[in-house]
Amino acid sequence: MLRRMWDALPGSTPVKAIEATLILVVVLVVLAFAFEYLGRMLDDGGVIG
Amino acid sequence: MTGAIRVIRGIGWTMIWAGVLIFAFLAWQLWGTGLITSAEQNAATEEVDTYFDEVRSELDEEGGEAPDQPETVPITEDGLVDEGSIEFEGPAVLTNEPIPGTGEAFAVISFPSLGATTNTGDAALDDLVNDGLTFVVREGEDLGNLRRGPGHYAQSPVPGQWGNAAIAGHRTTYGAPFNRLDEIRAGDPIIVETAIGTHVYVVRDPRTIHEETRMIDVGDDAGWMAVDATSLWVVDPLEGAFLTLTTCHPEFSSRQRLVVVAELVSGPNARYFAEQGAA
Repeated sequence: MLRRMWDALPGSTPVKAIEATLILVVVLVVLAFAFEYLGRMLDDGGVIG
Repeated sequence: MTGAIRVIRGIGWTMIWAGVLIFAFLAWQLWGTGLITSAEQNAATEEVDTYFDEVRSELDEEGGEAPDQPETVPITEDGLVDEGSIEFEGPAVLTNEPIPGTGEAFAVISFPSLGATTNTGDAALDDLVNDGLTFVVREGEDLGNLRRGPGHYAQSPVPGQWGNAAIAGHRTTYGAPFNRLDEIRAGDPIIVETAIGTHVYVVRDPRTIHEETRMIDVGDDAGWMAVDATSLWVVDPLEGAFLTLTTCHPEFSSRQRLVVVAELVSGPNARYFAEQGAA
């Protein structure tokens, strides 16, 4: 699956590497926000109010 | 490849990725966030020492009272505070403490009944911090501060002063400093060290402080109460020198709050407050 995703990226190999890195960073940032948001359902710090 | 096989393969991959994401989420929440808090608490150890030194120097320069050494607090075999045997050693004076800046590490809280070593003063501070039940407290209860350890409600008085000093802490994530608050019993000591000295609080049955009808539940040993997450009355001012600790409840949920209420029985201002209360 990863191979197919790599092949689907446009451009030469160095361009693909940059694109893949950017996509990875965006995915990680989105995941970090999602994890933080969902984590508050587990434990929001215990503050009253 | 037939359509059916393609669908089955798609479902398989979706489930694998969903599993990976759920595992990553739990690993991050239950373990990864703890690493952040642990590193922050390590750094805060030096920070709070520096803060203590600065405030003590300021008090000396202003001619204020030198911080008292902690008084001996008698503990029974059950680990409860023997309040009848407390003898005040210092004079009945009031030592005010400056309000720390937002985010500043300004106090150390420990729970001897849960296994923390009793706080005996500055020399032992380094040994106490990071033993799992002793935490550096920062000023402010915003999420950023709470990721670094327990946070003091900015609107409440500093521990050791008159009123209802309140501190919040995570129960499940970010080091879970208040994870074991549900094991606290009425009569257990909670120790808070600030720049002016060591303050010993005794956990009270919350029903003796607040209206029972407002509570959802009370701990078996009367050491805590469960309330709605929006119960602002918990942090309202109280007549006396109290400490209120709040955390999430039940564990793995932020639906309610577990609250521990304790009263000051020993420390630089305890005798002053006791005599003011008796007058």
